[in-house]
Amino acid sequence: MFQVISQIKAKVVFVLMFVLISPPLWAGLTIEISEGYDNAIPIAVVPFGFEQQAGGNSQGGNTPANKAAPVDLAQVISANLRRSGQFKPLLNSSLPSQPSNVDDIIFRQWRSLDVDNMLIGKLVDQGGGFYQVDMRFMDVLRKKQVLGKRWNKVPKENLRQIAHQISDLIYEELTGVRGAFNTQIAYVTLRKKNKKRHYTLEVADSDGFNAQAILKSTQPIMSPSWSPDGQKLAYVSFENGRSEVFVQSLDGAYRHKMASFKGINSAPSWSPDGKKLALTLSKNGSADIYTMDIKSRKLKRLTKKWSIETEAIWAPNGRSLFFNSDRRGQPQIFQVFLDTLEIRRVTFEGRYNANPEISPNGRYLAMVHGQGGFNIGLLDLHTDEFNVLTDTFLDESPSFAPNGEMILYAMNRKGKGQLAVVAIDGNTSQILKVKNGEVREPAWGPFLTNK
Amino acid sequence: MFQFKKLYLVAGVTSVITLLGACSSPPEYATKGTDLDVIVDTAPGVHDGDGYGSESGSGVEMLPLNRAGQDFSDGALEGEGGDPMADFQEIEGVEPVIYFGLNQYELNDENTRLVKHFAQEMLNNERLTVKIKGHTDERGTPEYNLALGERRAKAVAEAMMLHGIGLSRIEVISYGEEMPVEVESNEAAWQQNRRVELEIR
Repeated sequence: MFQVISQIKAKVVFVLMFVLISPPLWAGLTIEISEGYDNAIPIAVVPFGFEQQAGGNSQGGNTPANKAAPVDLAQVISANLRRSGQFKPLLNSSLPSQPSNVDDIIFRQWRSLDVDNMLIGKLVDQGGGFYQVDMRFMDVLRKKQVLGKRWNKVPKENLRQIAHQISDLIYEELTGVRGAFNTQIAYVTLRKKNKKRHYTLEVADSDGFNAQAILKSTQPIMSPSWSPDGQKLAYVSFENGRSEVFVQSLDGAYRHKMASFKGINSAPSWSPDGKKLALTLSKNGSADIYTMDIKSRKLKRLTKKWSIETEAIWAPNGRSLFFNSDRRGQPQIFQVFLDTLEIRRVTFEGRYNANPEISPNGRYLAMVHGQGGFNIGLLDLHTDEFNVLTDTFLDESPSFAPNGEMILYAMNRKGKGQLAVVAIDGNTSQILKVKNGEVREPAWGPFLTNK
Repeated sequence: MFQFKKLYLVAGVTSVITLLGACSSPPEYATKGTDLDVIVDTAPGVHDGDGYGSESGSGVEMLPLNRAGQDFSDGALEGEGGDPMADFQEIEGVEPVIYFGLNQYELNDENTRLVKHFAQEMLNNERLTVKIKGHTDERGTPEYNLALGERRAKAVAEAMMLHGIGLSRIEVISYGEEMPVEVESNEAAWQQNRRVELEIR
């Protein structure tokens, strides 16, 4: 059931630091997980065995003493599962043994630990920077393999991705919901150096690792929005002294200026088919909602009001948009239907409801809810039940995980912008921050692979 | 008679304006998965048909021009029915910053007089143009605040026009909550950040 989470319990706080990739000055998110463990399911994630491929190198089939596994896959997987709030991986120190083959499992050891499921696996160095990954997910009670999979010739730099895919498989097996660990997030960092502001638009894995800057500027960057195919980002950049909307392909092939009309150009949001952008433009007076056909750049104006209309997002079926309007004095969420341009008010609870985000299944509307402070609110569009999910400070920019289970958002702690993740049932949270700077405007990307 | 005590409290605003105006270096544009930053030209901007956009193109270093020295034919549009500056009083040393209440964008009497003062300065020198920059505090959503900052800047622009400044001498920009002068998260800082800055030159 929904609850206001007051339990950022800090019972267990894990701090994962990670090595700076490139360029070292910019990369880097630190994750801190604070959560209650009340209903989490215990699970055993056994450290993966590491071997040299027989015949591949001179040392034969044994693990060379001078070589360690390039990535601790089990550690990545157990951190993922723990972060979901639904699982409680055993600590390595409480594992009775560390089997990496099915034959080596002594099942009674594990049954006595009250663990129903365990993951074992193996990493094999195939030489030349390639690795084979084997995983087996076991039902301890039935002493049977539930899932088994092998990845062959995986480049070293993709091993974490494999760990995320394994996490997704386990998550789906146990919850029935597709996992969203093998996804990416985009966000903006702000660092000050010699009294100058440095903004970067970065993309990182969902666990904050592999952060890479895709745009650096001394002027503000705002509102990154993922294309549905995960290949492009739309965002607002002030690089020319005022707000303009750009679309950049993540492979670096192109960067297009999409909107630089008189006035503000902001709040880009991709249509579900990837063919249109919703934009906020004030070229005809006050801020209004437009859609732009990306190919022809033809605009369609959806609102015509003296008031502020902004922060539009598309319903998953592409037939309507939710947006923020202060036509009634304070910001509230409205919905506009594309066929008739009919507009209806959606939020009624509280004085300030802004920045709507719709869950991928169209059922939940997350928003910034102002009532005293600013927190993330969640409206169930089926039942009209409304709940406040967060109790951090100055919460904004909510963004759903592509499986709809978690919401990534920005907040302020100790005077610094940080990111946090909360489950939609309010039951777990985690915090992502950057060293020596602030991080804001998060956007959770789509699934990276077809299912 | 009116007081500008509050305004004299403002410190360092001029330097902030300089920072905003002059230090825009081109953003770097890095490709994914490489160590090298690859600079890629920006595609041509969209043209609106209303004259804006012609100077866009490279995506690099496009700052609004310093228009000093240019000739403006509609420099001084005097209002009808008398001189709008009839009750104008010279004010020395006032920072060109106008402050607003929470979620407010209308000008109070004091702010109206302040705008009048700067309008007069521009009427006295027809070569001057003004960049009107709207800002908000950090509370509320960034995109809403971008629109709110514009609303504040436009309220000031309209007041300037009412006092005879032609539209062509005015440029309105909103920065929303992106450029605070005070980075603290408290009432005193928020008050300083809810502002419109006038850059007259």
